[in-house]
Amino acid sequence: MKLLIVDDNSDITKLVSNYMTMNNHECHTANDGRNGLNLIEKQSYDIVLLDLAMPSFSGSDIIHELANKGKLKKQKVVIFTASSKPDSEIDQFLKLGVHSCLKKPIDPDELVSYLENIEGEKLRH
Amino acid sequence: MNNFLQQPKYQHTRYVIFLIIGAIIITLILIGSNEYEKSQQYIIQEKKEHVKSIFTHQLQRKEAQLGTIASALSAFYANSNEVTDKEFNHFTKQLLQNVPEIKNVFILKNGKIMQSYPHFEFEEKNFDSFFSEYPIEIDNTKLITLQYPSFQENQQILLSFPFSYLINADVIFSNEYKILLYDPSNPESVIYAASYQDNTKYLESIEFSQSENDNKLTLSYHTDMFGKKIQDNYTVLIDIWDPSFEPSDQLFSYVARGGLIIFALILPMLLISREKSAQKERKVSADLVKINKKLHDIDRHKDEFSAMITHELKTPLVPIIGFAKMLTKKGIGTELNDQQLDAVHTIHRNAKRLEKLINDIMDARKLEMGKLKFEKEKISVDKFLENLESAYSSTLEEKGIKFTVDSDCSNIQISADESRLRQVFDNIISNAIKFVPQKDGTIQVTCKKQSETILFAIKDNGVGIPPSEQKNMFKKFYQVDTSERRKSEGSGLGLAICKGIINHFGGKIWLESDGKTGSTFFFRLPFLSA
Repeated sequence: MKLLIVDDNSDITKLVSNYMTMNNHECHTANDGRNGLNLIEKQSYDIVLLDLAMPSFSGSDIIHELANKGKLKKQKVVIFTASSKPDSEIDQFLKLGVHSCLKKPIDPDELVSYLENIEGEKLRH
Repeated sequence: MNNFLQQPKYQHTRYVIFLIIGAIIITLILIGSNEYEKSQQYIIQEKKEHVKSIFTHQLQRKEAQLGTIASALSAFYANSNEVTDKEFNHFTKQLLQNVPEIKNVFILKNGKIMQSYPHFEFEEKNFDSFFSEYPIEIDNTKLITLQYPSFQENQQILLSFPFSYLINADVIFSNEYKILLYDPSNPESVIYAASYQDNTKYLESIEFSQSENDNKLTLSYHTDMFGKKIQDNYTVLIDIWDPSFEPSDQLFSYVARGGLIIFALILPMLLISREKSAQKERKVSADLVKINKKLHDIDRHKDEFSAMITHELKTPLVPIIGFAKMLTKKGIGTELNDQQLDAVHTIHRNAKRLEKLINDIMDARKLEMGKLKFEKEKISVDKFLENLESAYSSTLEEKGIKFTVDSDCSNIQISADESRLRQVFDNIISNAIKFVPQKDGTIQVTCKKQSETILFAIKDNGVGIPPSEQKNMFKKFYQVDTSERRKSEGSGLGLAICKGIINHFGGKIWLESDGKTGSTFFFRLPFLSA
């Protein structure tokens, strides 16, 4: 699997990257919203793991950008967030085409198995 | 107007207004009662005038009547040289038919009674010596005697009649009047008194009370009637008193006035004191509103604060736990020696402990606020219990604890949140693992099917929980032994969270222990029919 994780916390991105590599997957990281968006637009990934709360250009901003360009139909995005956002907000993202939402903290092994499980799933429209 | 008055800064204006209202009421009462008195007096005066005029007219009529009789008699004697007894009697009889009240007619010559009708027996007697007292009395009736002049020389005509002829009070109004007739020759002396209170007529004297005296009507009637032993041109003095002459209900009116004045004084005071207490209340409730708002703010800030804190606390734990775990994994080119591995295990274990603590705090708070989210799943009891055993197998092996699961609940399903139910079991079982003895520890999990519920029980052979502590076990932060010697780690939140979760599922959790040989935790959950 080719994964992109976008999170401003470099410890987290490093951790996930290590675990993905341990499990023989390819993992790219971005610690900045803009960089993340650039990477998404330039390359295709199996899954994008997206943190919501990032300074200056947040995960929600990325989602809206992708939605506007119709890219969510092609790119599987999983939200990854620690903040307890109200269900309604998460539902909005799901309606836009986001695949699912994972709550931090999550055990990295569990994260890897989850991502492996959904890798084969078809995208909803 | 109301709102204007209720503002605190107009408080003094309010007081002044109340006092003014009171003063106005008092003034109105005084004016009103004065007017009332005046009108009463006016009515009484009217009444007295009325009585006076009636009496005066009556006296005038009687005077005229008597005068006519006397003149007729005088003329009768003037026209005849000699008047026989028979002629006299006949004539007088005719005359008296008009005025039957006249008791007796006397014809005197030089003081000697020449004729007397109808009482013949008085003839030939000397009037003054026979009738020595005045008023004279005939047949037990006191009589006024009036003397009239005659055309004949040395002749006097006397008419005697009862007092009631002159002073007929039937024209007055009530049954309670008092009348005094004074002897005109001696104005201090009463010659006739009548009080119709007890229907008595003619009393020697009558007492007027102070108030009656103050309110009596004094009638003075000037007359030309000549009376025997009554001076010429005398003035008849009559004192008349009737209850209607008194201003009515004086006592009542004083009481009423006094009462109303007191009321008018009290009213402003009552209003003022009520105003003061209303003010106090307003201030108190304004303060309460303020305090309430402050408390809400504090509460909200607390919530926001703790939400933020727990989020911030959790975030670093992710890489700590993650990397520590990673280091313990074999076959990824990061082999550590035993000592290093042990160190990493320690880091991992403590990070996990911290994570659980934070999660427990969050869960406990959310349960308290009713904000903990629960999924609704159908859980197969058998499968759940199977998974349970495997989850703990490594720790149990390590510590040599014997773990058994006994269930008669095949094919039973319950509606619950599986992870939360796991949380309950985790809390209780990890407690049990802490407290069972080193070598012969046993933990027995049982599941019994009852009529509408399933009864789970987790029994250990640890130190037990003293009965005195048992009721506190499910309270937040409660720990049996908080001393330095305590073996257990833990926040004291686990059981409180279990209780919150079981209660949410509609069940009940409790414990039994003799305090020595171990404890059993029971919890009952309703099940869905198989």
